[in-house]
Amino acid sequence: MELDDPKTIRKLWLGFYAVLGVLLLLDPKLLELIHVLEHDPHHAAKFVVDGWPVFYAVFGFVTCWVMVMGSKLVIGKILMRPDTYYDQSPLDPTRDAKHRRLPDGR
Amino acid sequence: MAASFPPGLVLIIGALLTAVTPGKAHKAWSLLAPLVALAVIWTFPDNGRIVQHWLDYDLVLAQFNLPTKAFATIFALMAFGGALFALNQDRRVELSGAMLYAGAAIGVTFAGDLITLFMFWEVMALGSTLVVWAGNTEAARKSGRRYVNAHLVGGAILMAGIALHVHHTGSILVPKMVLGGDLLEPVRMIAEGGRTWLVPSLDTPGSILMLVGILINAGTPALGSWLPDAYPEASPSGTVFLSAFTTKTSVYVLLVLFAGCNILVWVGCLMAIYGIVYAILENDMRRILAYSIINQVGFMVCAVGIGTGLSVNGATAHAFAHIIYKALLLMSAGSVLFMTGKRKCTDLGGLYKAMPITMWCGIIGALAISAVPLTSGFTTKSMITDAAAMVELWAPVAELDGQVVWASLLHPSVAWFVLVAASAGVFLHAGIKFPWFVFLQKPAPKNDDRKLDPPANMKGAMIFFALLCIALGLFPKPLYDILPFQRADGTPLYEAYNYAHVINQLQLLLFAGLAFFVLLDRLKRTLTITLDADWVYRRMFPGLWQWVFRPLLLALEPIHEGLIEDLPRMAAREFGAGSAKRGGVRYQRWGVGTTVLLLTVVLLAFLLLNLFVDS
Repeated sequence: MELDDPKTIRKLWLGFYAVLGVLLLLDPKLLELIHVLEHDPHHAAKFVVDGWPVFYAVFGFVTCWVMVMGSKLVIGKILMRPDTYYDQSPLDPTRDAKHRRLPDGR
Repeated sequence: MAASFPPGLVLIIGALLTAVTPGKAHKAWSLLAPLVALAVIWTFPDNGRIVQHWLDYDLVLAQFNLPTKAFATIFALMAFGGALFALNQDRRVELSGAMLYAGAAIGVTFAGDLITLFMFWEVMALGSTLVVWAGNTEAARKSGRRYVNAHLVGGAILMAGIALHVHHTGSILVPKMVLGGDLLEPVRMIAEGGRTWLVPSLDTPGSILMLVGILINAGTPALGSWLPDAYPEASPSGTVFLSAFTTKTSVYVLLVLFAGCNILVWVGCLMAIYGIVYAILENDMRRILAYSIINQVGFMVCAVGIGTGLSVNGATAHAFAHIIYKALLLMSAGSVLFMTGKRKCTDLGGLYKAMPITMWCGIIGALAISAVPLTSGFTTKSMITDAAAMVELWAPVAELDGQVVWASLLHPSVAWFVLVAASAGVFLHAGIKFPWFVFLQKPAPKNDDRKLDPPANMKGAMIFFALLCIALGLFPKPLYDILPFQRADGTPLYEAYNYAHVINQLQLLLFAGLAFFVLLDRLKRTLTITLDADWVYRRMFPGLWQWVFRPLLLALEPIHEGLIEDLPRMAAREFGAGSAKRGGVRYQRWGVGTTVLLLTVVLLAFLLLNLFVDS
């Protein structure tokens, strides 16, 4: 079984989906709803939404989506620069326009 | 006698021995000194106090504050693990700098007064700068200089705060922490003479300055961009040392001085999110991990702000676990850099066959930082999120028209949602991103028979720390036993493993993982960096000088010359001794040298005269 074989990768994906599905089914609040699990006062909802079934799964996926998109499309658009920005920039006072070190460039 | 010796000094002596011992023998000291320090820490008597009179103060060089034992223990362990990792490298400056650094960090945790604390704090800046400079490249030299400047400024601000505080209260002692009754209750801080310690309420300039000085070291956004600037420039082993001490010492100092300071909850939330956003965008593997330090320290800072017994325990336990798994991640990254010479995610990938041990150790570190059940992150970080959920215990309230309302800008529950989102984000940016882009990402070459796992000592250090990550996840009791607050009846402090918690955590993380692979195209690394606050002093200030102030000054040069040359000359011609009558003697300029000499002589005269004046 080779890790870079497309068949293996396909199997890994299927396994991943299966684990995700099982996790959704095992959700404690879901099990409480269908009375498989007793209500546990130690895990009572603190902020309403965290008492909804599969809250953690949805919250994890959505916030990660938002964080990736937010950092890429907002922060990245404004603040991303080529990685030579600091060391070979015409603005660098220690180097001349051709990136050669100036004699008094410390 | 070991018990009456300040534990921090053990490692500082070790640093000197490492520096002066000839040949390869110096490395032996770097392995021995942390172990001796560990022994001294654990044999230090519970009520022991080493007091030294200095000037007008009784300095408490060493005593146990409540979080001391956990922090000092992990600092000594870390110094040992780091030294083991660095054993095959010949950078004496780095090794002795690191010992100095670790010793000073332990010194801070044992300090019983603010002056001792500050002195060790500054030694720490010194040692860590040596470690950065030992990276021995042009980039390391430059960023080391920025690093030391940031820390000197931070130190000066902290010292100003301490001076104001001491002047205001007349006491230099660190306060005592006590717990009301139950672990869930807020921690109370008692200053010298039984008074309430008022620093966390931030109502004096001194306390605000102290907080700013400490937050600079903690890596708080806008003040902490020295961290991702300097850490990735050190050597492969240097970064391992750097990751452990500075920020976690700040967490310790925040704990003993600022527990319950509510604004820190929001500072911590900001750090947690900021770390993730930047780590998502970074390409350099050690810069990714540097930003994830800020993210993790955010959890701890938040816990300090919450200030209940559970959260103080959580901050301490999380710092302990964090040092281990972060060092492990950076050892893994360091091994990759050491063996391949590559540091950018765009250049890496496909190493899973060539470096299996490095990869698995890195993956264990990545799982631990993401707080996957069975790892140390799960048994420690959960305490912080749980403490944040109990808003009624920590959030300030005010009365408005006879109704009790939250006295904060944001609803306090926001803190919990941010921390949970940040937990998911950790898995995204460190838990999967690091191993994926470094070891997997692209297929390994056909018939890959490269043997790139690093030398035995580096492997040994990684395996040692990987085992610790799992051990603390399975059996957290030894760690729980040295946390600041214990239950009076000896029942377990915290039970991380129960059905709902484990399943919810797995849901959160694996769906974050799904988001990672769904968005993989968006996450493809590019040859970029993302500007941080260090842009202000790396670009804005030099730019302002070059394009605004210097041209302005040059434009004003004629006026300046007129003032310093023409005006005196004119005065001399018109009114001077050599004017009209003699004509021969003209106004002469003194060089700078003469002026300085004259000034020195005058100052010397003052100094000498001063000796003869009483009081």
